[in-house]
Amino acid sequence: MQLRATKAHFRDAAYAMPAALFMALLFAFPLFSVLRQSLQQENGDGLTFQAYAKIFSTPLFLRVAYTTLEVSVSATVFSLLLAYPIAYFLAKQSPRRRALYMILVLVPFWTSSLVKSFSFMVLLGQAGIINQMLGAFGIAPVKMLFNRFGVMVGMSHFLIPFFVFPILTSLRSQPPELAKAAAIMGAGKLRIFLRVTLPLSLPGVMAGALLVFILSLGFYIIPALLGGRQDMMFANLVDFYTREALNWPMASAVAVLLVTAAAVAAMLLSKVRGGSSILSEEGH
Amino acid sequence: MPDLQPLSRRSVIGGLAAGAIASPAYIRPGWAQGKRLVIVNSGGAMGDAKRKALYDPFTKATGIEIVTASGPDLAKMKAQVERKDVEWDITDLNDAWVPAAARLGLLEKVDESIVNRADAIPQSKHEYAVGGTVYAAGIAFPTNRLGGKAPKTWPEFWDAKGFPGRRGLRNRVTDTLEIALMGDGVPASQVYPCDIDRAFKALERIKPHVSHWIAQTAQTVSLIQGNETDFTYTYTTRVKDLQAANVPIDYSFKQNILGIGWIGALKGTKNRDAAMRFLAFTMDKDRQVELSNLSGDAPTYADALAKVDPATRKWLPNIADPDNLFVNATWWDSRIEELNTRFKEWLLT
Repeated sequence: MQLRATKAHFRDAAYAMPAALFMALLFAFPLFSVLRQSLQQENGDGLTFQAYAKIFSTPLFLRVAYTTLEVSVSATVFSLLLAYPIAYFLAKQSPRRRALYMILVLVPFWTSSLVKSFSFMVLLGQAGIINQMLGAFGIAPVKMLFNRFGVMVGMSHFLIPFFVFPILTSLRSQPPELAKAAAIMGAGKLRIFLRVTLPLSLPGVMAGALLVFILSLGFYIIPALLGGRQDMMFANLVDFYTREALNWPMASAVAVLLVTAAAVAAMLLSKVRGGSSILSEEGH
Repeated sequence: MPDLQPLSRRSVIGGLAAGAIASPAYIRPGWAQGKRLVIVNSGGAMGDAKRKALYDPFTKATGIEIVTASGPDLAKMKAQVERKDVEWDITDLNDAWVPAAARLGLLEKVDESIVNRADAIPQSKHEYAVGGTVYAAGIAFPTNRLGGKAPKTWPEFWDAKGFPGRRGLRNRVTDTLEIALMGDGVPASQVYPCDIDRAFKALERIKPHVSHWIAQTAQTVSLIQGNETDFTYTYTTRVKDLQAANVPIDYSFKQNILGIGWIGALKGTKNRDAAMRFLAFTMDKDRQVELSNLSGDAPTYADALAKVDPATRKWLPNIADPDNLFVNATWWDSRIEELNTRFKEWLLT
C-alpha cells in the first residue's frame, strides 16, 4: 500500500514536471539573476549591499514606496466597494443568468490595460465624453485624468473581477437556511445582511483584498498613462533605473524588494481563512 | 590590399571595388549581396522619411538590405553589448546618450577613412557617432483659444500672470533644466555650465502652472489638441505635420533648443564595414537635403540649407541665431544620473 501510494505520488508529480521545468527556466532562473545583479557593484564584480544601502537612503525610493502602498491600499478599498455589490447580485441569480452576467464581469478582464487606458483618456479627459455631457448641463469640466482619480478608475476597472470571484465563492458557500432562520427570528433584510451574510463572507473579502493588493503593487502602465506626476509606483521606478539612470543594480534591488513584498502578502493570503480557497482546493 | 592571407571574400571584393574609383566610398556594387543591416529608429513620420531618403537609396546603391526596428533604447544596447549578442547594427541616439554610450563602450568609433564629414557643423561631430539632422524644440500653442495670447519666449512661458494658461513640460531633466534657466532670464550663451540650483528654483516657480509633465513625445501636441493643456514644449516637425492637417496650432521659433539627431554603430556589430558605410551615407549632403525635405529637420551642413525646398525651409531652425541653444551633451554626461534622480524626486514632491 505504502509503495503504491508513493508510486502514485511520483506519477502525479510527473504531470507537474513540464510546468515546473518551465517555471524554473523562465521564472526562477531570471529571478535569481536579478537577485545576483542587485548585489553587484555598479561598475564591476564583487558582492555588495551597496544598492540596497543606497536605495534606503534616497528619498526617491521612500516616496515611491509610500505612493505604491497608498495607491495599492486605496485601489483595494475602491475595488471592494464596487465589487461587493456585484458579487452579492451575482449570488442571488439563477445559475443560468449568473453565467451570463459573469461574462460581463470578465470582459474587462480580457481587454488589454493599454487599450483600456487609452479609452479612459477619451472618456475622462477635459474635452472627453463625460465632461462634454456635464458641459451640456452647464457644469464646469471636472479634472478626472492625470491624477489619482484617473489611476483609481483604471486600476479598479482591471481589479474588480479578481475581487468578485472570491467574494462570490464565499457568498455561495453560505447555506441559504441561515438567512431563512434569521428571517424567522424576525430579522429584517438589512439586519440579515449585516449580522449573517456580511460576516460570513469576510474570508472571501480578505482573500480578494490580499489578491488585489498584491496585483496592485506591480502596476505599471495605468499609473504611467492615467496618473499625474506624483503617481510613480515601484514598477515605474524599476523602469526609471533600468532605462533612464542605467543603474541596473538599483533597478534589480527595487525589483527584489517588490517581489519580496508580494511574496509576504501571498504568504499572508495562505494564512487567511478563505484565502486558501484561492491557493488550494482543500480549504473551505 | 591589406595582406596576403588566403583569398578571402573581402579581399576579392576589395579588388573589384578598386575598379570603381569614381564612385563614393560607400558604393561598391556587388560588395555585399545578401547582407543586411538592422537599424533602430523612433518610427513615426521620421522613420518613414528615413526609409525614403536613406534606407532604400542605400540598398539600391550597395545591395545591403535594411531592416528597421522601432525604439532606440540605451538599456537594450547595454544588454546586447554586455552579453556579446548584438542584434542591432545601427541606432538613432538622443543627445545625452552619445557621451554616455561612448563612456560605457556601447559604440564603435566612427571610421574617418570611410565617413567623410569634414564640412559638417562642429556640433554634429563626435568620435563615436555622426549627426545626421538638426532638430529644434520650442513652445507650441493653440491658435483657436485664449484669444491668441501665447508665450513666445521662455521668460514669457515662466510669466504665468502675463500669459495665463496650463503649461506642459517634459518629465525629464535634460532640456528642461536649460529651459528653466532661460525662463529665469539667462541668455542662451550663458546657460552652460548650468547653475543647477537656480534652475530648480525657477522650476519650483512654474510647477503650480504645469498641468502635465509629458512622457511621450506625441503627447506634447495631442494634449493641446485635446484641450488638456495650452502651451507645451515640443518639436518643429510635430507642429509642421499638424498644421499640414489643418489643426489650429502654432510654434514659436524664438529661443529654440537645438539638438542633433545622432546615429551610431553598436560596439561589436557583425557588420562593422556595412555599418560604417551607412554612417557615411547619412553624411552625404544630397541625402541630407532629401531627408530634410521629407522630415522637416535641418541638415548638418550649413551650405545644404539653401538646397532644401522653400516650403520646408521656413520650418528649419536658424543654427546661427545666438538666441537658440545647442544642447551640450558633454556637460550632461557626468551629471545625468544625479540630476535625473534629483529631478524625479523633485517631481514627486
